[in-house]
Amino acid sequence: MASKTAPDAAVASGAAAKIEQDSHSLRRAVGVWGSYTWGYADVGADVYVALGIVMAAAQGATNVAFLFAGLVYVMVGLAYTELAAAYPMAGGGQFYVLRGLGDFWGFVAGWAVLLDFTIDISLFALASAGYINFFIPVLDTHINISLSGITFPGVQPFLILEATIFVVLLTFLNIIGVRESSKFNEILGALDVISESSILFFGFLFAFNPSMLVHQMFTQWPDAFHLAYGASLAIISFVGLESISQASQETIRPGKVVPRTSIALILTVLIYALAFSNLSLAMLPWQSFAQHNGDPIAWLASHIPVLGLIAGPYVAMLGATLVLISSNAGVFGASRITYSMARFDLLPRWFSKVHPKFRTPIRTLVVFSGIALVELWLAGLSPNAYDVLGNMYAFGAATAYMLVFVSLLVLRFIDPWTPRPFKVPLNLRFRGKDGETRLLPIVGVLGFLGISSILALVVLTHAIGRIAGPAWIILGLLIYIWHRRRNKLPVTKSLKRNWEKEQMHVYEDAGEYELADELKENLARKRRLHGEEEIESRLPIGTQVLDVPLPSNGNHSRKRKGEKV
Amino acid sequence: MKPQSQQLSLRKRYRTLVSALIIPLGLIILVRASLFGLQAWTLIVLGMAFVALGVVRLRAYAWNKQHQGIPARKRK
Repeated sequence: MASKTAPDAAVASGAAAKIEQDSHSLRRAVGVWGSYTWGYADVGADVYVALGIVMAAAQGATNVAFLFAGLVYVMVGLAYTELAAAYPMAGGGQFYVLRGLGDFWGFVAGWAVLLDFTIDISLFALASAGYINFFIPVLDTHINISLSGITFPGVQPFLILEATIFVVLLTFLNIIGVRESSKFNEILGALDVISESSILFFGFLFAFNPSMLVHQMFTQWPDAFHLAYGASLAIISFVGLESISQASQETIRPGKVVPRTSIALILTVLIYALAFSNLSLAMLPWQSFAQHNGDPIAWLASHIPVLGLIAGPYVAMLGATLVLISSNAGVFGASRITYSMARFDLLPRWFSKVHPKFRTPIRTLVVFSGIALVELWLAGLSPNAYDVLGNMYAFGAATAYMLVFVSLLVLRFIDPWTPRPFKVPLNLRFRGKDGETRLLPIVGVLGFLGISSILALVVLTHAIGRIAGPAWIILGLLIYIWHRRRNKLPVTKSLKRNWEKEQMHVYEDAGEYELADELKENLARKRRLHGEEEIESRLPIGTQVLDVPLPSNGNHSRKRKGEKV
Repeated sequence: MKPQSQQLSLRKRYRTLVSALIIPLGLIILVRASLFGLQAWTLIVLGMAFVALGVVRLRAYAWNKQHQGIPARKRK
């Protein structure tokens, strides 16, 4: 599927001409460790929530369910790594789909990821409050509430209030600026990596019994449906790469840093998920985890000799910390993705305003943290808010990842000119009509098939997700259509943008001068092969080509045919 | 400047320690799982993955150390 561009669409776009001049941009403050912990903050906590649920579904094959989801995740991760290093812009998956498939699908991908990020904020703030209530159990009290004559049984008002306070606090931290919140993540991320490693280290040293694992795998193997259901749940453990790519516009030298941190994160997350599931099956029967699906890691840690005595309160503290930074990663991700979507006219430009002092997208932070709060309060009316929120989680991720794979494949063919500091391995070589070589990534094709199967499993097996997920997408499309029509922009077609100029600006802003030089050489070759000036001269008289809105120098000018930029 | 350099030094030590611990841990899992043969294939995979992670971490650390403090090439 090729990107649909409409050179003539921009002609009538009166509203696009009123692009807000924005002299403020996101600053580059995230280093190697910061980039890694942004991703880890998101993924590390997911394992804590997912292990018990997956164990209850996949039983003696929990480790295999994690392995299947993990292999798909590795392919997703490699695709994200290539795209984030090549296009280091805020927006992550949404931006790559926009580049590859155009405005409409870019919006769908962004809106799907946004569903995940807003649920991420509310679900993990709720989970953090739940872990804190390990020490103050009275705050977990269930009461019946009547609103407008409707009774909601088993509501936990104190828990919801705590989670609300967390969301507000994290939003404030993110408004202050990425430097502060990145530092916040770095400290907590380091603490959690050490703690999780300690549990695994002592567990494998003193408590694991390989014969028990072999026994459970042979005698407690689930049927195909439960294994598939477990695998579809396990994919919710792997959303952190979106955070790294979201942060790539704020990462110092992203072409060098992002591939390394992404690959380190892919390996860490895969190994931790496999390690926790294998250790669990090698220590205790799977049924005991199904009974303790609220605190599976604490249950596991309490059975480790020596460490087990202090493991209960310690892991409760650890869990509270982990899920809180995951919630913080959600606040960050949601704000950056809407910032990116607004800059590309997929959402109203009102969202792209950056705070003059803190240089953070304050409006998106407030609005989408607000949506997360609404989700939290609505889910809070149910006796099991975790279940309501968790059920919708996988839909958004699977939808967006699928589009990212398509985009990866398309971009390899339509944009072979952009330098790729990292390439997804195993490629088939093709020579295009223009003489330029294109590479088809086999891993990308396999990843697309893998994530498509997971999306199918989610739709077949997740009762709330299959209704709420599509409903969210439809709501988003209504907003998209309203915004595009209101501004006289094409709905199904894309605006023609000056991606080359934008790409050059991004490289120079990031200090990636080698990549900028390589891009210049590639573009010169492209012009030689394509005869670019001739193509432009065939455009209708008066056609306008939109410059991509460049954040730091407010370059929103347009070029008319025959004019110089 | 001194506290920052101390912090970096602590980080380096932490990274080296974790990388150094991960490799023998992977080897322990690998050896114990191997006693059960291919039945414990998931543990064998896990052990190898731990070793690989340790090696990748050490290589990343070495790369980072090599490039630390070198500014990006200035434009002519």
